[in-house]
Amino acid sequence: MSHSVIWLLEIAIASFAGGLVGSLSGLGGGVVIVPVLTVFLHVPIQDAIGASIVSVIAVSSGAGSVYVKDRLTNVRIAMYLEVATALGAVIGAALLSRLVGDRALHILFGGVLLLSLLPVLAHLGKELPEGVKNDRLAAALRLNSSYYDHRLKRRVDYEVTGVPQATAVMGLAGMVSGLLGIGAGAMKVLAHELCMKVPTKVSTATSNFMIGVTAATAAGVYLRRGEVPPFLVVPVASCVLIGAFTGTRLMERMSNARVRQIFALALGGVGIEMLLLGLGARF
Amino acid sequence: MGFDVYDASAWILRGGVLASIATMLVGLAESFREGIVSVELMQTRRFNPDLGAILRGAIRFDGMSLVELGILILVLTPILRVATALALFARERDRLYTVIASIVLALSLGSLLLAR
Repeated sequence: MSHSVIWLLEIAIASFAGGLVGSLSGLGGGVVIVPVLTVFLHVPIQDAIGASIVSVIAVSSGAGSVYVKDRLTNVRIAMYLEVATALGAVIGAALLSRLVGDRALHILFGGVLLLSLLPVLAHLGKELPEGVKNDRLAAALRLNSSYYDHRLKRRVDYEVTGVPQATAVMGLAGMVSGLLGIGAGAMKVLAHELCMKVPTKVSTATSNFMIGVTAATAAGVYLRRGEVPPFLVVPVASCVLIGAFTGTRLMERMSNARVRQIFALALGGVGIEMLLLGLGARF
Repeated sequence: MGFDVYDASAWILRGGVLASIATMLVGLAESFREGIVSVELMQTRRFNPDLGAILRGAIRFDGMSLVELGILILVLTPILRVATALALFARERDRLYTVIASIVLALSLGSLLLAR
């Protein structure tokens, strides 16, 4: 009995941390949940991934509800980019899954994430992007917006550039989700940060918002295959949610630079994890 | 400014995730009462993707079915958020975003139901 109580406590702590990291970085939280469940708690990897993908929806919905209520999320950017992600996911799942091996894809994805860490590190300490003007697509889609920054104590207006590039990255992100059954939140934040050049808090909040739809469609596959352990989902999802709500409280008061540092750390983590999975690590 | 797509999304997401977790916790408590929960069981039981069986079980107040129902509510929450946005864009006669939201809804519902 005491053994199972400790086991449950460990799951609760890992899940809380996952929700915290997920909501702060916009990555969803699978990056923490999956390795902790497998390495430390010896949950088989398929079960860990199944429980994680469902719980990421709880992070996205919980944190997403706070960010969208506070107008930190850009709903138009999210809705527009979800077209690219969803299309990519359909193409990835339907066509590419027969062509590319899982392991090669993990290595490729991990490599891309680690490389994209470089431009993120290059402007690690910068607070707000400067001199960004709407490109034609952004103007047509009315993507520019504003949010109230609790740290700077003022309203921040921002415009949006690089929409075609962001669309392409999101299409790729969708394919990766469709192929590997992951939320691919890292690529979502990268599309916002590096292509569209929106403030980091907006990109985190918007990625967080979008990831729920991606994770939900991926979860459908896992549920149908019977790869979701329902009783494991209960503690993971509920503690992840508490972590996510805590994360939103912290994030809204942080500087954009700090949020970007957290994202960079999480990005490095996901990159290394994907490389290890691709190289055949079975934890 | 009245009730817009931001407020609606916030309500749907919060309502969905809280309803889901509550249903799961009731299911877990009920399973404890039935005396069937153990660490082994938490790792070995599998989600049974039979919608009818889940709903019938949940009405009978069967623990595991309630947990599964909670998972279903969780998975449907983001999709419902897109559907609500679609309705609001249509009400505001925002033709561009009504089309965009329709595509997102069709694609995500399609892959949720059809992807293997």
